Amino acid sequence: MNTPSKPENTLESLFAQARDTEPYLEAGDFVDELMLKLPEKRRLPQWLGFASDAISALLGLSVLAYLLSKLGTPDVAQWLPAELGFNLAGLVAASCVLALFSLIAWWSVEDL
Amino acid sequence: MSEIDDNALVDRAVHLQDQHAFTELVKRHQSALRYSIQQMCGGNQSLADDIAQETFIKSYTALESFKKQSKFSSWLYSIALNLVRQRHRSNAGKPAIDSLDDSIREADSTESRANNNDIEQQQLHRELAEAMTKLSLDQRSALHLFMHKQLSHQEIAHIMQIPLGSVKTHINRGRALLQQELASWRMN
Repeated sequence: MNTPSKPENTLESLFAQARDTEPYLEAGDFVDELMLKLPEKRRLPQWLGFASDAISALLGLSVLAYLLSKLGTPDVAQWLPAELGFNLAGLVAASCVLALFSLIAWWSVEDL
Repeated sequence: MSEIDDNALVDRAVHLQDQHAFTELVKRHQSALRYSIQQMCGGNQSLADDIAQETFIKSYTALESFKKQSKFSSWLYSIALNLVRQRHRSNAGKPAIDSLDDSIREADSTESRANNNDIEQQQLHRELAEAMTKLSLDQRSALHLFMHKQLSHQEIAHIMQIPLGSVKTHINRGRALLQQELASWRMN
């Protein structure tokens, strides 16, 4: 083994020698192979994700506003059965159920 | 593209989705990273290349999470070391990760074509990697990063994600064990 004679400097010299003669490993095949393995499309940067969400929401709301302005605001109450009454407990319960469904929907698409 | 620094290339790869910028980063760091992983894996070159590929793939998918508080190369080493640890854990009890068989066979086949100087150099790197297999993975990694890469204790602690005191302990113990190992080789 290429070890220097001075014992106290053995390790330092050995590592220095290894450092000086560290081989350059050719990039060619390694890089080509790696590029083939890279995922097709990297996940969007976070800011771009937020921006696209905001633009989509804005467009959706604009379309809704346009439709409402053309067709007029619908009277939602007339679509509901006459026997269905509104009370605070009912509204809270309905909100909770809707929130739960929204969360389930969010979790199911989060990793797509 | 060689005059552009690593952080600028990362910015281009993240914000402009410029794959050439990422390719340039790979070309810059692949050799040193593969060599270091090889030293940490006991000289097994095919295993080291496998882990290096995984390291670059992980870095590619998580590039926007690189905060530039450390060097890009340190971030790569941190990812690589985690992967080496995972392999080490999953291969616990099996000799594969520390096996020198593959690299020795590979080196032997090429030695006949190389000149004497090259042979001596190959032998030095191989035997150093072999001697390092007597150390624990943490000792080996800390010692390689300190003695070969000449990184500071602080940088090593950041890469290995361990306290500064543990880094110093690993280096001191690793150094003592390696010294013993080399002494016994000289006696033989």
